[in-house]
Amino acid sequence: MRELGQICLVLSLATAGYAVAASLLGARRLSAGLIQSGRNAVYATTALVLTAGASLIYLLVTDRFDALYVVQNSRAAMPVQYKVSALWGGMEGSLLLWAMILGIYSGVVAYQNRRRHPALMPYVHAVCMVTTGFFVSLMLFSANPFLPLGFTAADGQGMNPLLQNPAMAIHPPNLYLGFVGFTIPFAFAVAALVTGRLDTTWLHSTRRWTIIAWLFLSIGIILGAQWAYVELGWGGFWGWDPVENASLMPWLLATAYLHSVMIEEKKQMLRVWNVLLIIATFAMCIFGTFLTRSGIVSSVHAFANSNLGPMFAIFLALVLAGSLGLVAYRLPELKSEGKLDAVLSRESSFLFNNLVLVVACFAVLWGTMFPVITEAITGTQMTVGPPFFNRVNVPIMLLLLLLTGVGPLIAWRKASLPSLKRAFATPTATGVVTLGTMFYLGVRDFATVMAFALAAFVTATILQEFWRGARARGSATGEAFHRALVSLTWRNKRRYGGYIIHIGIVCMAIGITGSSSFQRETQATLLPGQTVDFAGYRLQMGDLELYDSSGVQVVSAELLVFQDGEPKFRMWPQRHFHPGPEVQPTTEVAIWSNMRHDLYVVLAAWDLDRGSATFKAYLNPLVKWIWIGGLVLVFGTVICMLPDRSAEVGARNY
Amino acid sequence: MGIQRRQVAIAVTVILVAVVYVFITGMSETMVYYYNVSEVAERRVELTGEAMRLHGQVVAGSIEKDDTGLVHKFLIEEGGQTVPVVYRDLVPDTFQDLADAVVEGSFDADGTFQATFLMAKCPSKYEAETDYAQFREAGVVVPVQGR
Repeated sequence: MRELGQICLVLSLATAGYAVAASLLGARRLSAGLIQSGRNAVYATTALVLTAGASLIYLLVTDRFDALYVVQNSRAAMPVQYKVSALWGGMEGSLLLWAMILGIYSGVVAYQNRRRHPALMPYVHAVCMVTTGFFVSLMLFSANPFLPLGFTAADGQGMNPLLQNPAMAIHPPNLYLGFVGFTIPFAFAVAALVTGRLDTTWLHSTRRWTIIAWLFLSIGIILGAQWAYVELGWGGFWGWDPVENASLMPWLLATAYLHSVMIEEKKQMLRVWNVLLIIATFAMCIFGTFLTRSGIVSSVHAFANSNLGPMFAIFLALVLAGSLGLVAYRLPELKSEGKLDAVLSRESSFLFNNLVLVVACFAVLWGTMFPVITEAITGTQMTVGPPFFNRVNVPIMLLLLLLTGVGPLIAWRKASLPSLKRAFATPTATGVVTLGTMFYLGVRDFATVMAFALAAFVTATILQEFWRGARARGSATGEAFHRALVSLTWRNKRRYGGYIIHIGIVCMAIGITGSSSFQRETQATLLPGQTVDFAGYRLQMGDLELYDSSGVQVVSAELLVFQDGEPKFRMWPQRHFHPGPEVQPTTEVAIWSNMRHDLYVVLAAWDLDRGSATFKAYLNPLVKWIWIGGLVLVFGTVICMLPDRSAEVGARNY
Repeated sequence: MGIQRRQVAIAVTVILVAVVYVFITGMSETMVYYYNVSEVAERRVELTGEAMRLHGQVVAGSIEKDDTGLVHKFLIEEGGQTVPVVYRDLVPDTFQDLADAVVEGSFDADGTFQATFLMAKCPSKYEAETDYAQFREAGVVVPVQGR
């Protein structure tokens, strides 16, 4: 199996190389035969990369401890689902996952467009295969997952127990499905630039791909946050770690891109900008992978200093030089046809939205790379921590929230005063009332008050849109309100799906604001029967237990929680000691969650002789809103992606 | 440039100026030096009270916890120099002997680093180029990782 995987990798590099050569040559000579041959080579590459992936999974699941990767990342006693997820537990395997996903995407895009876009497709194939070839080369020349150990070990080292968590098991594939997915729109953009077919064809044919990639990236980011929250035990979900930032930056750029393409489709504006955005998004995905793989910035979860750094740097430089060169070459033809007419128009609100998202991405990039930049300039490293990211991003996000409310409602070209009044009277009133209420409740922090007021404002704009749309449709067709609401959404999936995504974002904004502005914490050392009062709860210490749970030593403290003098529920904050060459402790947080807040308790220390334990407890307001917002976002995105009855309808409705 | 386009340009400029302002103030108020232990171990007196991030490896066996489990005293080592650190909060699971640690805080008058923030990275398998050949000599055993 190990040999099979190795052979598949070598062959896939050959087929990818052939696909690039045949496609480019075929496109130049207008040879349908060569182009077809290139497409077949894409399919072959897909099959080979997938077979390589399947062999590694087979090795992991069947405990083949003569393979180095299996020994390093798996253990006989691990549950089978974590043996599979060990595929992306180590660096070599995660590169293979990248290649597998790109293989699948390339194969699907080649098949889907086998009779469409004959001029563009050879170049799309070439770009996909160059990227696949790059990742396969990384494995073959630097991080091979199929190396032999040289003998057969009795057992493996196992996966870090911190990674043995359901959210963590599916977080990397989601992130990669997102990262890799942006290769497709990037490939189409390059194809459009090379061929000079710069109309909106490439935008239309990649819209769904872009949304799929964006969806997976969003899910990946949210799962990562959830993992950090339940597994790391520091009471938060986002620490501005370079690896987290690496996933956020392409997301911000892709979000900007998803919005600005609407302007291009509708008004033929921002064409240079859109091409630059998708190039930047793709480059940021490669850069993000590089960031997590190279150890260039010290991070909690970075895989350390490998020699992959220079290879990534060269590939990234080639991608940027090549695609920016193409943009420069086509610049005269890319000049926008449309013009921006007024500050108060949908076009300009989208422009501001783009500006803000790109600036946010730049801020995150700047903060992440700050140690590297300062070292290059001054010779000494300086760092900026979470306070920098928060200070810069909070105002940016407030502005973005405002634009989320304004953008979809404001008229195209130039908004008139009466139309503004009609659109914004109720939402503005809602926002102002919320602002007053917050102030009355004693909240004085400017950003917090504004965040809630803007959240209310945006929600009101969206509800008003649904309300007016459904009522108008109801009176036109005679449908009942709730039916009209459904058919309205169904007939304008892109528009109303987008609104639903915005509701998800608002929920997340509420959760993020609530938990970061109003978090409370306490700590206490308790003997059995002793109590501590915290945030309206009374926590009473019960038994402290030590037991074995299928090989894992568990220290568990029972807490009985009272509210208003009544016993309400029990919590068991724990500490697990995973067996292995080195005993690995993991904190198992106990979380009691409702819509208002999470009670989050960590077992910090204990004394088995006395039965006492020390706890650190956090009250994290509104955290659940973040996860619910995430679900809403996924729901809205799926609606956006569902096919319209005819593609034309979808294009016209925006 | 028509009057409308000028308005758009002004709005964009206003946003950018505001962002640059937030950027610069944010940076000047939050940036700290990042040192390795060997760069500061001998300058602790002159650096007393100055905020910084400090990087080193947790010395094996040096971690002392108090009864609450929330106060940790330990040594970090880099380049042959060692400094004592006190951290008064929950430590991450990855904090253990030989972990790569980054602490943020400052030196007190005694030359002890008072940390307000701690990051730790496992003595990770990805870093260590474990020499698996040695295990062969000892028979078929589980390879022990470490550096």
